[in-house]
Amino acid sequence: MTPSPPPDGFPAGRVEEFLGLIARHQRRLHLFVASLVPAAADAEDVLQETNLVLWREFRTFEPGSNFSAWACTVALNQVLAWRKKRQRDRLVFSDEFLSAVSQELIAAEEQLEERAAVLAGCVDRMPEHHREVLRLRYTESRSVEAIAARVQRTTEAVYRMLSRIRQALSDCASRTLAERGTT
Amino acid sequence: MTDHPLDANELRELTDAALDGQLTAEQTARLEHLVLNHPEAARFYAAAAHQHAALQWAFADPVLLTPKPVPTPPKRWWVRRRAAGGAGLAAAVLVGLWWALTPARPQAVATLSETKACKWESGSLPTEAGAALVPGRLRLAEGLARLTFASGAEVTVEGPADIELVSPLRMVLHRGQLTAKVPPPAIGFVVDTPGSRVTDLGTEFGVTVRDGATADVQVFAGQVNVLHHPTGHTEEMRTGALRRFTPDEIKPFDPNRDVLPANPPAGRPAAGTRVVHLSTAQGRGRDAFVMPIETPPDRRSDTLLLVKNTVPKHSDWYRKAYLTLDLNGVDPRAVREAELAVTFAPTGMGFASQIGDATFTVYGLTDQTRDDWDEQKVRWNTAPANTPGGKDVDPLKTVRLGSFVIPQGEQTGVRTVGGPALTEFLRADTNKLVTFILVRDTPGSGASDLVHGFASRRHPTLTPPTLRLTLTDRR
Repeated sequence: MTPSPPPDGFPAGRVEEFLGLIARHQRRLHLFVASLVPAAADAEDVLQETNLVLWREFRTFEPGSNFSAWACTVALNQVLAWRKKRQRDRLVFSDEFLSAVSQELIAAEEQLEERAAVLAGCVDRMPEHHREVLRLRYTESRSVEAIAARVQRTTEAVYRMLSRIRQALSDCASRTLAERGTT
Repeated sequence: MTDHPLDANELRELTDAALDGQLTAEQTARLEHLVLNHPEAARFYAAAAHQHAALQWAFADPVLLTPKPVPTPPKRWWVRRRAAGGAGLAAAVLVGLWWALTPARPQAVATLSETKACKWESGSLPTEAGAALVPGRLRLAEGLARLTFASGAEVTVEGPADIELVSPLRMVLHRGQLTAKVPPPAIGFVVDTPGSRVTDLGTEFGVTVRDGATADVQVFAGQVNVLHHPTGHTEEMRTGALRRFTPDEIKPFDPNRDVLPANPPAGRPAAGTRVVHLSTAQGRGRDAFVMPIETPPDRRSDTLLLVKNTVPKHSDWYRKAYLTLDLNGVDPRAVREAELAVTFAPTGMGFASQIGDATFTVYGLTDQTRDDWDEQKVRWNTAPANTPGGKDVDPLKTVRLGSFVIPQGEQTGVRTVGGPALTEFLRADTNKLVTFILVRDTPGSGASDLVHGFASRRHPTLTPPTLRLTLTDRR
């Protein structure tokens, strides 16, 4: 049994290097793509394409240079390609918008990563019914309508609740980081 | 270009709509205008979208949809995900958003490419060779089945096994054994097990889940990363590596010798302990079910405790079961381990096709003044700690003890709930009576969905609800 063969022209002796880099950066790459493509199913498609292109084009990646930057560039191109394919059958953002958001994500990367890291503690401190809504939305992948039926509230009320939860989490992340900064 | 001051509320509303897939064409244009013309709007949107992505990452885990006796405290499990190494993201969100954005159109995630001597148990997917498989559950009693995922990943499942297809890049192995061969396009392919997540990085590997909690992973060639939920550690495994991921630790094992028994033996009680069994048929024990309306004659059962949750429109047909056990002769503080077992059987009421896999939750009644409820007189409105919802109980008077799943189509069997919550609940008892409430969390479609039934103390042949207690022997 052999590992899946590298594509033609794949730099000899660099399979391990590639695997190591892709493993280390997979989460960050996923967050980048999912930030540009909020629907998880679509984000997953785009990420899969991105991984494939990274594998195919790895020979152009210079050892020791910034893998994260290279991978994000490839990912953005894949997001734009996906957008082009999809614009006929659904509402999509413009290239300008996606590029602007992507620039912002890259510029603020460190800060955003810090915020993501304290998010866990913030969710833990939420009231139980808020955590339940998050669980229904993000673990059970319920639509807002389905959540409304489940918690016996109106769809409108669930939208408002999700909005408040996001706001509370964002405030909590800011507060946590500020406290950490001063102590 | 910042022609107007930015309206923070408007921006927030538009951002929320974008994240929930609800933007209209006009709103899309407006959001784009704000983000492209106000740097602070771009910052706000990027931060909100990133938080949304991080929540998807943190919360998505189909394994945890199905409660399992894995001792990972539910409150904290997902914190560990934060430390995850390479892994797939948020496939669980897939379904909801998919439905929100496009007409109902379940996508095939894999093809059943080959079957050998396969016998299938209940499941939610077709089982003939060549069938296109949408996300769902498959249970293989015996034989070999090969699945080719849309991503290119090839997985061979060996019966007996219980698997769940989530997406072209993700599946769950609840029980059993499989090998996977993953070509480059499918790098990132994930196999979730009850306590760990195996992420492939272009390789061939095997996974075995035998006791519902422990996963054995072997890498035949290449590399996989395994995130062990209980410790949060990511194990990088290369060609030839063998690791066992138990609820407590990660350790090497020898596949030729160190094999887990397929069915763990009941085991002799540890030294200094004894085991007792108590049922609702003993002493002051009792059991009953309640429903919001007076039970019609054709909906009664003398022998089964009926349990049902459905859409609110049909709330008249909710049913919850109450069980009380007499702890006489048992010192609650001597309880070291406990397990509550219930036996289910067909009721002949409703259609199994109108409900998928059903999750049930058992609550303990902490308001001990209500342990004296009357089996004959108890009604929906007077039942201890009952609240109007189909699955709800008063959170101030109860404690959640655990959940179990009855898969669609499974007609008879035994389910248990155990663990620290149950032990604590029993140890806190002061009046020698403990009451449990059994509810179905999963609502059916509302169109004559199935009523589940559990053997009561009056059932002529099946075992009534039973507590198995391991006690510190003070004699």
